[in-house]
Amino acid sequence: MSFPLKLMWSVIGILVAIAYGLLISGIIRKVMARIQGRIGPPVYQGFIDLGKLLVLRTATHHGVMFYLAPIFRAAGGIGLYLLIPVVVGVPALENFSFTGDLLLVMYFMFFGSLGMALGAAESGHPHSSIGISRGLSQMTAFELPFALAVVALAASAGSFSISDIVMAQQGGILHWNLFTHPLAAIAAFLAFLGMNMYAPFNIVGAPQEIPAGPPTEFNSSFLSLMMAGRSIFAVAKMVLFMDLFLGGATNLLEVLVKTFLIYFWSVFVGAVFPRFRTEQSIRFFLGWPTVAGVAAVLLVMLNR
Amino acid sequence: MMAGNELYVATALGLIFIGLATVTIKRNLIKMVIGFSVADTGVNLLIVALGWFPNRTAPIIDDPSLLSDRATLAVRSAAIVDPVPQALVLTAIVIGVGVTALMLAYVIRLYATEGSLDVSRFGRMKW
Amino acid sequence: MVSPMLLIAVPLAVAFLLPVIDHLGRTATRVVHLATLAFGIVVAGDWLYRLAGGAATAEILTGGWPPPFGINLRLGTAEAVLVLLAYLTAFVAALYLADREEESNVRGTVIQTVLVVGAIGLIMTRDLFNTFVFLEISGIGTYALVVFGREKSGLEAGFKYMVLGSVASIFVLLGVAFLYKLTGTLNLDDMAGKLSQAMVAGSGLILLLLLVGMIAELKLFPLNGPAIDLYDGAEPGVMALLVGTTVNAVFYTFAKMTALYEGSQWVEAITVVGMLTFVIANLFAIRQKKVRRMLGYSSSAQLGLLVFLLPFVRSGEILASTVGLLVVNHTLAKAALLWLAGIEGNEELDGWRGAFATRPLLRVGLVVAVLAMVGLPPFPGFWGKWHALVGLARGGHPWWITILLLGSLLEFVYYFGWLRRVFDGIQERAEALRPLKWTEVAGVVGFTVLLFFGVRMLGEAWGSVAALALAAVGVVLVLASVIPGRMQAAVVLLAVAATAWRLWGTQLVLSDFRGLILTVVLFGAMVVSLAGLGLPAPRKSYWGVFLILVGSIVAMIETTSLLGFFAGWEIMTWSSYLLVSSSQKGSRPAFLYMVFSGGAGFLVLGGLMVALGGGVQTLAGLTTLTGAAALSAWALLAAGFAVKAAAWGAHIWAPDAYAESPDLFTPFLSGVISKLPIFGLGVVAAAIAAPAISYLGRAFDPTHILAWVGGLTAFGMTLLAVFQEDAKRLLAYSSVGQVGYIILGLAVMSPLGWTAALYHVVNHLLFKGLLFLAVAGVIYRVGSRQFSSMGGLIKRMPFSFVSVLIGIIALAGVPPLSGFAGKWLLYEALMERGWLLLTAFMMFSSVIAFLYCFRLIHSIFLGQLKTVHRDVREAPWPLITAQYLLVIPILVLSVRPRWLLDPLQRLVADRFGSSTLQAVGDNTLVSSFGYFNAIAILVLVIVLFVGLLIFLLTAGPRAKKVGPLDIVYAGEVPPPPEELHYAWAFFRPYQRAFQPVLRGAVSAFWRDVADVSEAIADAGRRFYTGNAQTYVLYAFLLVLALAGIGLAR
Repeated sequence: MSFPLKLMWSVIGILVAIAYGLLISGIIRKVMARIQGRIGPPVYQGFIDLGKLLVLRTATHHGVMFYLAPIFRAAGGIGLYLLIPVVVGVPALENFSFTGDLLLVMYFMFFGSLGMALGAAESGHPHSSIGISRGLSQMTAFELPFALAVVALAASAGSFSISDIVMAQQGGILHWNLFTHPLAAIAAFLAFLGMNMYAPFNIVGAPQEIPAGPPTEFNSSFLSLMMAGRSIFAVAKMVLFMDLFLGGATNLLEVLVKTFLIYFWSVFVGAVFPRFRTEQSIRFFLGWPTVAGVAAVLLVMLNR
Repeated sequence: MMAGNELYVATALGLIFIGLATVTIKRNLIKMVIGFSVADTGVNLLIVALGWFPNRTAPIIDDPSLLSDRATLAVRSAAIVDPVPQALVLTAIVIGVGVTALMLAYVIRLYATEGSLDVSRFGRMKW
Repeated sequence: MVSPMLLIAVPLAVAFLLPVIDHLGRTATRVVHLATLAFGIVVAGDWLYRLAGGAATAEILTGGWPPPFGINLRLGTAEAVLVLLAYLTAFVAALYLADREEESNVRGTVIQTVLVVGAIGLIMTRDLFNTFVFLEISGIGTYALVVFGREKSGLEAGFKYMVLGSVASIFVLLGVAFLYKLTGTLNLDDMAGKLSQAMVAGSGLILLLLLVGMIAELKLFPLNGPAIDLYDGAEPGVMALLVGTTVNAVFYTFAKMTALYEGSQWVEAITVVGMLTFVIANLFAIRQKKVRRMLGYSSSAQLGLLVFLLPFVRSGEILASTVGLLVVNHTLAKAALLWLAGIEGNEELDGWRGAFATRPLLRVGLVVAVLAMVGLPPFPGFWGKWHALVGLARGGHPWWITILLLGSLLEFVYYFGWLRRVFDGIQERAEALRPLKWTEVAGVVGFTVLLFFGVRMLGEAWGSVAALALAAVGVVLVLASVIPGRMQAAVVLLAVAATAWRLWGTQLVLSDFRGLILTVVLFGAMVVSLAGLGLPAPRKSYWGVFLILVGSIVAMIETTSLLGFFAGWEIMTWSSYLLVSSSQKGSRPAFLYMVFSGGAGFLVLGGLMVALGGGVQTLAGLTTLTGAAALSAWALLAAGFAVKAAAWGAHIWAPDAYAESPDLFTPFLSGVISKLPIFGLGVVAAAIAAPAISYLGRAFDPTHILAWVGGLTAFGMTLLAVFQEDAKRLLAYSSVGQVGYIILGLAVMSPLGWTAALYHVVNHLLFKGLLFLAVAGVIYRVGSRQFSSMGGLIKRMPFSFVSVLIGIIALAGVPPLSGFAGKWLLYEALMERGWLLLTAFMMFSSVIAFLYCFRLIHSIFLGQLKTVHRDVREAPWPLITAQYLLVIPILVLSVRPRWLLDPLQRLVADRFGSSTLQAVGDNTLVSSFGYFNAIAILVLVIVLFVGLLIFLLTAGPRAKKVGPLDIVYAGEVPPPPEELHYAWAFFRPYQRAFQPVLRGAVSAFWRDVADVSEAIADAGRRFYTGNAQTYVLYAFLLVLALAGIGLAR
């Protein structure tokens, strides 16, 4: 496939992913509202917000890093999406995964968050800093079970390449890592709850404490870019989990179904549980999820 | 091996023991000095006793002709006691006197500082 | 040629003439006295020169009788050295005492001369009774001289010393008398032959009496109580005289007597008593609060060490010249220290705070003497100890080596504890300083200079011109303290640059491990000295010592011999110690640094001794070691380097040392010095093929242990870094943690692991140097290291901000900068080796690093700008230049990691064969587990970034910049910026979550170690009750105990 064509497909993919991300967040708000006995906003509320923010007539900023923060955020989300093959074997949907393996993806996940944190911190609002402190703390905590799961998968697949891991799961639903490495799956999906930051792990933007958390000071087009980045970031993560545990996908419909299921896992949990305190959240991830992860790794080592 | 001088040796050892015991037990500085003196005497006696053999004469050349007559000198020298210890003792006595004098000088000045002769009073420097 | 007899006769005659001469006036007395001593120096020096040139040993027969009938004296090389030393000491001591009324009046002068006569007689005589006489002369001289000047304390000490001395002389005389009876001779050589021919019944007891007498005369444990009191009570100038004369003479006497003990049951007793003295006296010394008493313990310990070595000299395992080196070293250093103690005058250790702050020459003297005392190179004690240890190693005495090194470590504790106080309190002391006369200082200066004769041996051991030249320029800079600090920094920069230029292409190449480390070192030194153009030097001698440090490192890297390596290592240790100590609060952390480095050095030394015992001489020869020797050498070396790298468990020294170092030195300490243990691990430890340990029937690779130590270090230090409130401490913990990754990489022992480790060595130098330099600039401008007193500085110091930003991105390993390649390589290597849990564990800890990275940049540069900092300026330009010198290579590595990886791959291939790492196309790196393309990721990021920036600039309205307090604050007026900046306890919830593992078990452990040893020392030193009669009793008990043990055999 020629490079310009690939580029075009990627741009389309990015736009679709953003749209999908916005839609899915709309669905969730609706679901949550219904659970809480409210009517809730329409499912397309995300698009309305994005449009409104883009056409606002005033915008303020606090300095260079503040200005760049949404860019970091969006670039992080889009870049992550581009590093993950959506459908292995379809060149148009493999994106730029030749750039690097799972390790690169794992580290690139932090690119956007850290960049945005820098800008948010420059705003000088204490709520931003507190939110970042909480976010980083939680992020490191869920990284441990996630890393253990990844190591278990990579060791059994003999590769850090996402494509290789997907290929190793072909041949029926029971070959999925979800079933062949159940302990790793438990660890990773518990970590996924933290990544998505729904309750009980919504400590970063904890509404009653630090109203919006890090993005407190962002407005108009800055905020719109951040929203877009966040949407595509969420989609990229779902695709990653799909590739890692649900055997990847062979077509876009499969992608939609699988990612939707993955996402709803965290929505279900979020609808039921109240929020943790920060240290409770950290301890949670270092507890059973980690035990499951270690067990998964040990199992892989024994099966060698 | 020390035929005949056991008495001297025993006495000497006894004196050394008494002297050192005094040094160790008596708290009075003067008595300690006396103890050293006694022990010194014991050591000196011991040295002389070690060089003494029964039935031999003093190691003194009483006839000037002996100096030229080497053969006779060799015979005569078997009949004298060992001269070396006696020479040594002479030196040791001198040293002993010096040490005793110095010790007494110390005692006088120590007494001047503390107004006491009790050895246990002079133990400020320790540990 | 002057007859050696005159060496005794002249001073003896003068001693008796002096009272007469004194009638001509005090000046005449002094002139004659000094002239006599000068005569002795010349004659002894002349004899030494001739003897060294091959002249025959001089034998003097008294009364014309040959031995054994007449008393004979001998002057060989050993005697000539000791006689010269005695005259030298006496001469300088006479100068020193010249202004003290009591000691320099005619009586004092006579006694000084008599002491010299006694000592020289003791040294030269071969007759046992003559020995006794000279012993008594020396004794009486000592008793008489110590009371001068210090009436009360001198009296008490002198009296006790005299009591035990008299008992000792009774024992000696008894021994001599009985020996005469037994052998019929008083000539030492004759007697030794006769004794060994027939170990006559009863000779055991006689030799024991003589031995106990000599133990008391030698001031060995347990009969050293009065001698220590003497150091405490007498005038230090007098003690210095004694050290150079009587003490050495008595030791040499005993050395001669060891011939009598050959084959007897007391040889072991001599060894044991000597070593016991060394360890116990050093142990008790750590709890001393008085300087001179501490020096007394130290002297006793040194004598113990010398006596311990004597039996090995007799058996031929150790050369006499080795012991000679130790004797000379001890004399010069101890005398200098005693004179210094006398000049300073403060008895209490705590009273030495800031001592000699305004007298740099004396301070240099003090430092040199202390370094020599504890046996550090290039001073003679180091070479003596080294050769002694080699002898012990070859003779197969590992336990003696262990105990000896333990004792030496104790020596470190109290000597550097002393220096800690001296360096404490940079500010001058309030009281007016007494003007000093040159006569007082002459001894210190002269003896310190003499100590430098060890440099000759250093030259032989190193053989590196560049290193010696650097060190020499360093010494010159130390002495030329009038040159302003920034100019000195320029000299250092030039010197290092010249070295780099000279070694370019020969040693300075990346394709070899030494070359790589050398590049790192010289580059780091240049960057730091460049930064030094912009910051004031922390101490006048700073840059000189810095050059010595660089020289030692260069030597260490270039040398091929084990000795050269270790000499470089130890000089590196002490010079970096001095640099750490040169900041305001550096003395205490520097002390800890030195003690741990000392321990690390002794572990390394132990490892090298195992290797030397196995016949290895050179670094390259280490590969030939096999079996148990290989394992123990490897374990000791790895442990030593791990301690020096501040691996987990021995890390407690590092944070404070890094944080309290001068801001100019921390980048070097973190970027370069911390890599030297890695060099050690790579060149020395890894050369040894450590055999597998079999345990419970399973083979176990010892590199596992090293790997987990590295991993724990990486994790533990990273976690601790998160909770620091001080910018430098944070970076300090971070540095140690990063070294943990490097250790782990080496422990993988695969081509990929080593590539990862070495890549990280370079990368860590770059980003950590960058961060420390940037923080140094901030600290310089803001005047604080606390996060809570910074904030919002991005607007005032934008260049520093960019430095820190690049530094933390490279540190965190976030793409697209150079750090990611390092992480990637490490994980791939760990996966290849199959260490899965470690892989995940390292992923976890490297994510924790994000926390402190963010904290660093946020608390300093982001958030609210403090009101007081509104007018802060950017860091000085040399500092910024130095930072950007480090930024450039980081960016280059980010684009093309292969430029570094390819040479690394080649050099690793020499050791392990080629790795699984390959380059596909131009830019994609592929290992057996994964792949990544540095340029692709960089392009991806840049394209996205630029595109989004253009979007943001064009879409929507033009954003207006608002003030820092223009924030959403629920409609209220925000409080002042000081209250809005969230910087203190930034990760408190995280700390709560990790509370169970943060209890500080390691520091508690080391505190317990210190407490227990201090408690033992405290309880033990009560053994010296201070009562003269107790000491006499100890003598009797020693006789009984030794008799019980020895005769039972």
